[in-house]
Amino acid sequence: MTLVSPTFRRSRSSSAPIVALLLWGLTVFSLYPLIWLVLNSFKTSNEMFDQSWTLPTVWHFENYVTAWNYGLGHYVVNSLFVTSVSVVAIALIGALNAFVLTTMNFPGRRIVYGFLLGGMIMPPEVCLFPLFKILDLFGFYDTYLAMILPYVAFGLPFATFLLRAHMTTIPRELYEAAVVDGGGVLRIFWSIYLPMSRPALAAVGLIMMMRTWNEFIFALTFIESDGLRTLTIGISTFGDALRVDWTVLMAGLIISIVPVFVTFLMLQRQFMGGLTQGAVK
Amino acid sequence: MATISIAGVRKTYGAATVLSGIDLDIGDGEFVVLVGPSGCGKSTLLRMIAGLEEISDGTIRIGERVVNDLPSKDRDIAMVFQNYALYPHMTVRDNMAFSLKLRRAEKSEIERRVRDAAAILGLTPLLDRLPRQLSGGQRQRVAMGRAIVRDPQVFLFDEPLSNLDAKLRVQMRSEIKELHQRLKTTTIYVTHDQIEAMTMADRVVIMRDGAVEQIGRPLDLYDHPANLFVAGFIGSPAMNLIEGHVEGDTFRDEAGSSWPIGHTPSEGGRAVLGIRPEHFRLDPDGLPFEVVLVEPTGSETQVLVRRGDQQVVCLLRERASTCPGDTLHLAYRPEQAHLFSKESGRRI
Repeated sequence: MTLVSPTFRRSRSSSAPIVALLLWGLTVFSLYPLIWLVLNSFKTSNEMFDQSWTLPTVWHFENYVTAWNYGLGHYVVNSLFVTSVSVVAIALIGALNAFVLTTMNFPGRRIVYGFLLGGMIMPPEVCLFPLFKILDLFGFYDTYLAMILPYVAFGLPFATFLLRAHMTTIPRELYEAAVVDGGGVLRIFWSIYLPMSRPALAAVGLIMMMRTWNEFIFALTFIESDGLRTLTIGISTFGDALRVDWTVLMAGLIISIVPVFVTFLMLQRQFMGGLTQGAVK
Repeated sequence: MATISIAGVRKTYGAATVLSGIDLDIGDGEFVVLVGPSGCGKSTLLRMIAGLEEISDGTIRIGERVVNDLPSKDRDIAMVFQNYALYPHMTVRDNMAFSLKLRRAEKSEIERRVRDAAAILGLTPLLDRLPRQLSGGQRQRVAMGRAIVRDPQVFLFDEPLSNLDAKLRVQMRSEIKELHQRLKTTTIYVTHDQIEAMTMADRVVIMRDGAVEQIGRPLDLYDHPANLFVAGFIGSPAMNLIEGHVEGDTFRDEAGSSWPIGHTPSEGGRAVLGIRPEHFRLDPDGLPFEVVLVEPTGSETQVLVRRGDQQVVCLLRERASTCPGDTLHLAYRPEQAHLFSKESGRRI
């Protein structure tokens, strides 16, 4: 039998239209620029200025081809590589951190966890100069590692936090059953904890993908060669080169959004599960 | 199969002592039940045998080997947990095969053993299901299946029936017992339910506050409890315990009423008389009691009666048509009465 408080029911029904209206307003507010961008990416520049809110009279798919041929494809590949390596590393190392913090009892465990969490409040901009010096010292400046290493370091605190919150909900008996079954620590991590953390891993992966994909400051500071530049830097230079061809620029922007958008659509169910994981028993 | 020998085993957490010198020998193929109230240390002892808890002092042997410092996986044991501890992302088949895969068994051997265990436990149609698609009883069977595929020397059960409803618990109790009779593997079973202990065990170990109170066959414990704790713990409804003192071959309660005990005990003075509820019978020549409460269950009737200030529970096979306020004449055989020292609690 489900018990519903009459007070709660009344207050929910009276406020529901207002909440719905607010949510609709928020949806329009969020989607308006995106729809505008998509529509105009298929027009000529003149048509965009004359009729920016109508459907294109002729759909200029070639804007996308032009944008890709301007070199955007190269930046997309760089971004995909840096983002994939960073996200996999963040998820794997974050999961290992969380596993150790959840299953092993060692002196100073809380201090280590607190130290890791401290990383979440550190603004990346503060570290720019010391990071530059360190990366230069180890010969990583102007290499992919100059982006990947800082991305992983700055992503780990949040990943560890979320994954640890998830792993604390995994019953201790599963670990012990695996120990009795003959599993070593790494095997238990790989075969039990990692597959059971899929929702949290999806959430970490998606959040870190968006953060890494859109990152600008490190990519701008630590990379000099055009061949290593990622999409965010590419788009900014692309904008300079195409100052007059706005609709091609818009097509380029749409291309830059697609990978994150598709990933979100694929992972959204697990992502939501991951974010609410541990909220209730 | 193997013997298990536990000698002087202690467990301490800082200043707190959880187990204080446990000595226990378990024979090859024996089914031993550790029973006691919550916090008595029975699960801790089981976990120490399993290698999930460190041993502070003493020695545990499985077969000829001292296993104090041996990792769980090398002890050749299998354990069934209270909440089943099935891997939720694996099918029943994978759950059962997991330990064999870790031991790098041949694929055909894994398949054969899983198939055999599934057949024994009636799990064959469920092999491709996930644990969440199973009922409580089926999950329990999978947990047992996971244990038996390994053909270990020792089975350890940690309150495996606690999460089941009463009917299923009775059914699974029989299944575990049947399984033991079939496989004859040495088994240690932890429970707080004395009915489970009595019905399943070859021998019962009763524990309290980290120490063993008594070890023995179920009916020996029932008929000859060594102390007040065991007397009160074993049996449902619990034994009536009446405080008073011994005068020759008679026991006199606090209100001065006399209760026959049939013999002159070795110790006199203050004592506690124990009479099991089922040892009372209706007898016109018996002691008069005033009826306080009548609880018929169909097969028997539980009656709460009073004699002076002393209330006792009796269990009658007869369908006594009696009401609160009536007088019942009840008798018991004096040789079935138990006497315990008030000071030490030990049987006298």
